[in-house]
Amino acid sequence: MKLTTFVALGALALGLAVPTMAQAQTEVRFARFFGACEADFGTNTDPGTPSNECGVITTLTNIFNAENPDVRVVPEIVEWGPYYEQLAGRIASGDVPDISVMHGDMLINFVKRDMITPLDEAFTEAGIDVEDIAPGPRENVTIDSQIYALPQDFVTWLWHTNSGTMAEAGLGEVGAPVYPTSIEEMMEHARQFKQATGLPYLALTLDSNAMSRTLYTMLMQANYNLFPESTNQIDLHSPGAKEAFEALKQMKDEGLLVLIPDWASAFTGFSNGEYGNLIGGTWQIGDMVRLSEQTGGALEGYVAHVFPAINGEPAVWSSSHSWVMLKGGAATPEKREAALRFLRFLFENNIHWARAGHLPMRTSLMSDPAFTEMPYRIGFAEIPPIAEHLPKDVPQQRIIQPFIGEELLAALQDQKSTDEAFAAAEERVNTYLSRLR
Amino acid sequence: MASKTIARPMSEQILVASVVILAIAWMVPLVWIVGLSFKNSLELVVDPNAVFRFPYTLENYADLMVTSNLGVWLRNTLIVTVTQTVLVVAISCLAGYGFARIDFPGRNLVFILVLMGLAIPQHAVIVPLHKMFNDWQMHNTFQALILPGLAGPFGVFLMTAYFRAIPLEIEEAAKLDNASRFRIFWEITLPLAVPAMATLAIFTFLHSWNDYLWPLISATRPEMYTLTVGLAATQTNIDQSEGLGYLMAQAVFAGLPMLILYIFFQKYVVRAVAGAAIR
Repeated sequence: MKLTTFVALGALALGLAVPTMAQAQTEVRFARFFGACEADFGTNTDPGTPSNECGVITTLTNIFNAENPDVRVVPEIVEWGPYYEQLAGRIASGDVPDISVMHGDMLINFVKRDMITPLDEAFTEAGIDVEDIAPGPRENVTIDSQIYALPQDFVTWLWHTNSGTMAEAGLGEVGAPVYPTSIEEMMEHARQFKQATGLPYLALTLDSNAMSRTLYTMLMQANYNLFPESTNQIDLHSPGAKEAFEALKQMKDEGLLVLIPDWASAFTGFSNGEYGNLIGGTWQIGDMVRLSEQTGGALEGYVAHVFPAINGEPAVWSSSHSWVMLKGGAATPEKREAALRFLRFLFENNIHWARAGHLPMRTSLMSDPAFTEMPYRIGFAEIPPIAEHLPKDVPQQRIIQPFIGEELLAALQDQKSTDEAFAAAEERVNTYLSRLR
Repeated sequence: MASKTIARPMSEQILVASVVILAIAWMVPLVWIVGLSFKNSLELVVDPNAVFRFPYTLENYADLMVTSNLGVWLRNTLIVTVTQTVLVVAISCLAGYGFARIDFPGRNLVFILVLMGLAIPQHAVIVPLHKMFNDWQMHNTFQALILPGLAGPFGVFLMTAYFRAIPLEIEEAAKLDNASRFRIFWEITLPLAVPAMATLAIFTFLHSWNDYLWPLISATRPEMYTLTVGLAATQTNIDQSEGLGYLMAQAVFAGLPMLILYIFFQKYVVRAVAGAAIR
């Protein structure tokens, strides 16, 4: 046999063998957002390395695939914005992923349409202890006494603080800033901060979601019910809602609160020490820590603190990421077993997700030093009992949230009065909700 | 003999100066994008003006290259875009010639129906389109990515108008020589329509290359993504609060084929934009 023929036959045999070997694996199609970061974490299996959502979930997937040679989890990544539109399209076309990420507040929209498989029995089968899931996230994914998703975290709203500049203004020490406990005290702190440093005390991005989450948090602290009559009708009429907002407006008018056009500019300003606190979310902590550690300078005293209780009792807006199994996905027993094995793996490795900034959802991890000793976080152990979400029966929360934020930001920028903004927000939300089938 | 410089009139000088200023204003963001793509993302978070100073880096492009599916997405985009462009031009030429030269019953009515297609936006038909391809079980295939783009009323309108503008006498001479209808079309009329075909090809190519919505909902498997959907999925941060350098490298990479296309077909692009093709 000629050498070239031999090589060709060898290559052919290899070509045939490789797919055969690959077919021996059960493929789990894993639909998610969180981005793609193969350049940094494509082959990483050290969970201690990544510090953002993308890095952690990519690493966990790598670890699972390495530890389970008979299963291959294949991420199918879509950007955040159109994720749900694409998911709906996939369901409609029968191209259903085996496991999908879903925000807790989106769950009801899919459950109502009978698109999600209840997981109570599956959890028992997989050995996932539902009693270890914190009450808040568990309640959020429980509809009609059935659990429809495996929660992954608490996502909450907070203040990113430059404790170095806060200390300059006499508001605590570096690494241990002092936070206000009322709106009046917040104004005092803000004025004191401005006088000492010449800088705004607080920064808020012109992101409608940021505005809404801030308002939700302040109203939750006042124990205000946004949906008193039905989950299809919001009430923004109470003076309490307007008073809370007016405090922010006054701060802005006095130069104590600065509005930043986008998150990139907000991060730049914050890392350069241009304001004391930036209102943001838990998902930004990992990036802030990286900025703080790698650039140093003005952000040396970075800390993340739960949104201070400035409007009543401690409470904070919260949401969650969760994993669901859509109906039509994981159609064979092998796929179902493999998918459940991956869910159990995510449950068992929940602590690593906290590196990105979110809180783990397992009660047993709340007092675990692996979580409580995570640096830069203040008061995180107190978050679970005060984390609140909108009533889970409120449909399309992701759509109505920007309506409120857009209107209030218009008022904050003096484009309309507070009364007009609240009236417009209420009308937009209620009109939209009334049209839903 | 000393050469004489002929002074341009003041109005022309003002016009040239204005065009230069506008060109610079148009170029600055593009140059900025390219500059940002060569900077470390973290450095840009701390100081966006770092784009104006050294060091520069290729790390964003290197990161882009190790995104495993990039080659696949580029291949998919090229297959879809080139196929769609060729077929749209072919169909539009045939239909345009038919409307311009063949007198068949109901011609005007059919032509009006085609023109009405110009008034219907893509979004208005996206749901039935999705359902149709779903019924045919064609999602996640090249056919699904290509076929909807072939229904191009603009191309039919453009080619009809162009063929109508070509004098009939040219074809009549060929008819006297007993040339068949198709031969007249293929050998006489079509070569005269090259400028219009080029215009149509450029518009179709641009539209197809940049299409996002249909590939997003039809190609749901990463191996079937086109560049627009795939690159968007690689955004590493929901707020895009960092990773600016990487984002800009993506923008440059996605725009590069367009730039190459423009360099090679500059003449036709200018004509197309100026509307010269239908004159």
